[in-house]
Amino acid sequence: MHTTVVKEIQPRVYEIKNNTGLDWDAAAAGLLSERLGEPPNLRSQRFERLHQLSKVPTPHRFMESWRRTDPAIISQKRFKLWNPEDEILSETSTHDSDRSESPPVLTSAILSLCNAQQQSIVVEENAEDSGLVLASQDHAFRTQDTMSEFNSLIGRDIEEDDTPAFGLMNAVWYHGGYLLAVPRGSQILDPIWIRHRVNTPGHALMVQNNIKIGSESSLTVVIETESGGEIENYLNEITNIDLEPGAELSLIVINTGTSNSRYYSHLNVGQSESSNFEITWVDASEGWNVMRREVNLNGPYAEAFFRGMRIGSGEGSLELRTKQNHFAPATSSDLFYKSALFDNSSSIFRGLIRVEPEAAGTNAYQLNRNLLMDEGTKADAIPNLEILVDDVRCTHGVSTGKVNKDALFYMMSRGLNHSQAVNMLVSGFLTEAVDGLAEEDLKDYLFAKIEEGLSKFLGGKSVE
Amino acid sequence: MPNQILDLELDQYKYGFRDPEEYLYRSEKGLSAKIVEEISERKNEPIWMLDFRLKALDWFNRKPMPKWGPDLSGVNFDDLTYYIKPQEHGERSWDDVPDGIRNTFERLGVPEAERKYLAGIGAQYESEVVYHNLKEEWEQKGVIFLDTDTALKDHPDLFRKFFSTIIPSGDNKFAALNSAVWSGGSFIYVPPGVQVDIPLQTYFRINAEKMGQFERTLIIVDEGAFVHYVEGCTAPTYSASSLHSAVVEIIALPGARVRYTTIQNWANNVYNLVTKRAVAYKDATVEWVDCNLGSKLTMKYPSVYLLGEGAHAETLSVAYAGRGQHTEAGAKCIHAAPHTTSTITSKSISQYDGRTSYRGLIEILPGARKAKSSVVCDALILDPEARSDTYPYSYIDESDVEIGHEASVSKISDDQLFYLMSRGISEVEALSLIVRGFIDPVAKELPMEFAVELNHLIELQMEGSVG
Amino acid sequence: MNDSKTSEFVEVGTINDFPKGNGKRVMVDGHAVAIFERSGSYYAVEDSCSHQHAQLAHSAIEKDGYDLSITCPRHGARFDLKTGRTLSLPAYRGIRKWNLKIENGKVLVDRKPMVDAAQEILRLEVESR
Repeated sequence: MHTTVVKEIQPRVYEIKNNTGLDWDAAAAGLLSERLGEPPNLRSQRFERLHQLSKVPTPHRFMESWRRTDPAIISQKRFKLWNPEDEILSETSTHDSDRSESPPVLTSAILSLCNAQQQSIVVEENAEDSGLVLASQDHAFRTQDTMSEFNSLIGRDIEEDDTPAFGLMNAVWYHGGYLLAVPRGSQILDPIWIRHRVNTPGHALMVQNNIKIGSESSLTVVIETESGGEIENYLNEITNIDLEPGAELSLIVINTGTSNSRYYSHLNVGQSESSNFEITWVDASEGWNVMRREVNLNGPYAEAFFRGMRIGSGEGSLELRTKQNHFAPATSSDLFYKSALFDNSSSIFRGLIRVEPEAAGTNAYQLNRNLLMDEGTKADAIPNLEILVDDVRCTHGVSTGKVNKDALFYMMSRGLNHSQAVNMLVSGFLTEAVDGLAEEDLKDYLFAKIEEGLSKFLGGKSVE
Repeated sequence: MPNQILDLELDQYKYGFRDPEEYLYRSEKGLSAKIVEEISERKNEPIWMLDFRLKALDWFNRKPMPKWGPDLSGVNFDDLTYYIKPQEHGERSWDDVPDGIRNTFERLGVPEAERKYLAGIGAQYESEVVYHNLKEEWEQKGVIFLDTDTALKDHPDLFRKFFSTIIPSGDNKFAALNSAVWSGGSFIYVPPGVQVDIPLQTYFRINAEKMGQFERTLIIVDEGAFVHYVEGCTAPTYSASSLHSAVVEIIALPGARVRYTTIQNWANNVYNLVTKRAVAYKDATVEWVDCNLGSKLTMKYPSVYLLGEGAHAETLSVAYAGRGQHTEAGAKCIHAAPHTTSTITSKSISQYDGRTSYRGLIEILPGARKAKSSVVCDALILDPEARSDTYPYSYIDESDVEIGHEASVSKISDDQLFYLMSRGISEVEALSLIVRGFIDPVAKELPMEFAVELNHLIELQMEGSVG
Repeated sequence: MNDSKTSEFVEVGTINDFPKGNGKRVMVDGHAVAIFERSGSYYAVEDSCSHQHAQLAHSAIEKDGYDLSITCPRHGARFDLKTGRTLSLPAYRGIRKWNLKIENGKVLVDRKPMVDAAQEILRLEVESR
């Protein structure tokens, strides 16, 4: 049973009127900062970043790192910035359908965002008592009550090897995002649920989120992002995560997008001693996606796990770029990523395990498997290792191919028809990726998402 | 740490003796059109080759140094000699070879090898092949095995038809350099259906200080024929950096099979920047067996373009990097036809502050249905300062494929060592056994005498270190 | 094969628009086409290398006997100017070719390219055996 709700803010429902948009300039950076109510130091930081941005190369597809995903798709020439002034409150709900659907499990808090603006928030009493901080940036700056937690995180530099441009754009023109913090020593048992609906037709939206988990605290967070509509939109999202010593964070990320969604996402995790980070994702976007997910194991005994799966459909493309950076001794990381590709969808996996000289006693693994279901699909893999010390155990593996004919034959000989057998093999293939998730009820929810994603391909197919 | 106690000297160069330098002709240092013209003139080349060289020089001047990968800042093109000719003609008989050169080969053990097994030996000393011995049997079957300069004179049409079709001058900066100043190397043609079942071999060495060596090898294996070519390199140690930049082109026509084996053991100051590429037509097989020990920096990515249905590529490589060394070895397979298959097996060992890197590419082009590729890379790191990288790229533009890639990086486990030592084996022997076992999948593919030599090289270094 | 009945030629300029002994890019139905002139003859090929799509219009023409070839300025791949066939790697396939004719000083190019060479892989064989 839910406990008493101590904090509930009335839902605000936005209606999108004709958006004239903002130019990619200093004036827009100032306007966005002012609207969030940022302190002057953060505002001047935006202008510094704008100066840096003018000095870095514009990513283009002749760069080796952009050979397989054309960065021109999210070029500044193709989009103007989304103007928050053009978004108005509406009495009638037009796209808050997800509000009616409550999460499948007990939650400690639910935050709903629309285009980086807070729509509604519910926080349970015991979570509030534990010191949970959860707010959208616009709300937090206005109330000033939560800012100290995030001073070190907001606007933090993100290293982006050859193409810093996208991260810098975000730092100049971010529009908002959520802040989530848990103080030291708190155990919040039920997950935090964050829903983010993004639809900025013809425009670009920069979002910055910050998560901080205090020492010896543990938390599970589910983030559902749904983006795109009838017209092409571009979402650039950066999420900074800081784990203090002994902190544990399990992040469950569910991403759906229409074919018009253009999503550049960068998740950057800093981990202190003995901290534990897990990310489990289910991705079923039909749009253009570049996902960077990086962990920095800065303290000894820190551990990171990546488990992900993707259902590719339509013309959808997803380039996943991961980094497992080991800076401290006795750290471990493990990545397991699976994708099943239908229609003309594609998958690109670029992974790096880097083990620095200080990181003796490291274990690091990386595994990517791709199932190519239809003729037009393709999957690239570039799983890199850079090992600068001897005392390591490090492996990686990639496999790409079609459904195993022998297994199919075996299952059909046991009385399944062709489509049932294929369905079983594919869902078995995908669910394996998220099987390691400890929370059973959340796992069931993800399994259901996978089945739902697959049903449109496999459910309807007639027996051959 | 057991390996620290032992202080293995795997990287000590044991073939570092040298002969006094005596040469007929040696070009001035640095590279210019004048040098290129002189080289061509001294070789009495046809005008088209001079033209080709000058255009290549132009490419070389225009092409930037590669910006990706290893550090090439130590390469100084102005401080190299581009051509040295030790004597007038290639010799057919061992007795005719000048004493100095013969002594070098004696020390390398070439004649013994010959007496034991070998059908043909082409020994390349400095820039040109000085010694060729090809069994009459093969000559009767129409097999051509010559140094590349002689082949240009004796078989001008065949030569021109295939030369530079696999690696054009503009391919990369080092291929351009080789194209401008190439000298020596091997030319092989095997007529249809001929099986050359005893390997053809060339030994060669770099000797003169700061000299560049730019062999150019062209191998054409006609329909249904087979040849195994073996290249072994050792070079003495010098302080100034030397550059070796070979170009190897292989054409495997329908149904042909060709195996190219290299045991490279350059001195620790040599930059070894090699372009090796092959094409395989319908049902043809190309195999690269590549053992890289020594050198300051090696960059070598043997490639196979699988252009015909059913073509197969196989690459086996061993790389070792010791003090101050960076060995970047890899492989590339481009699948451009249906039912093509490729396998890559890479084994690398890094010690002290040495660094080994695997950089590979699998490309499956649209329409290459039922293509299969399997890549396995294993790395052994023997010291905390050593480094190992794996950069495997795969670009797959076809859905009906089977692609697999696996890699592992590890150190020698103490358990393994203790187990062997508890059986009465010394630490040195135990380490040597483990390293041998690690490279065995590749070593067993070598001709017997080369497997012996590879193991011997490693053992030599180990012995010296423990004294 | 190109059927002359379905050919439809479009004008891309006059002969004075194309420099002697060189290449120049024109657009034909949205395709980039490089027009080369050599000794009074004109050739039209795809202005994009089959290897990594570098522009070919600035390539120098090389003559060897009756054969004319162009070399990609990026990695040195060579193409037969008359047929579009590839003559060397790293281009393992050829490029498209367009039929071209000169009428009253006007350069006319067939709208429909011939794709044969673009589909053909590098052909290497020993002739005299």
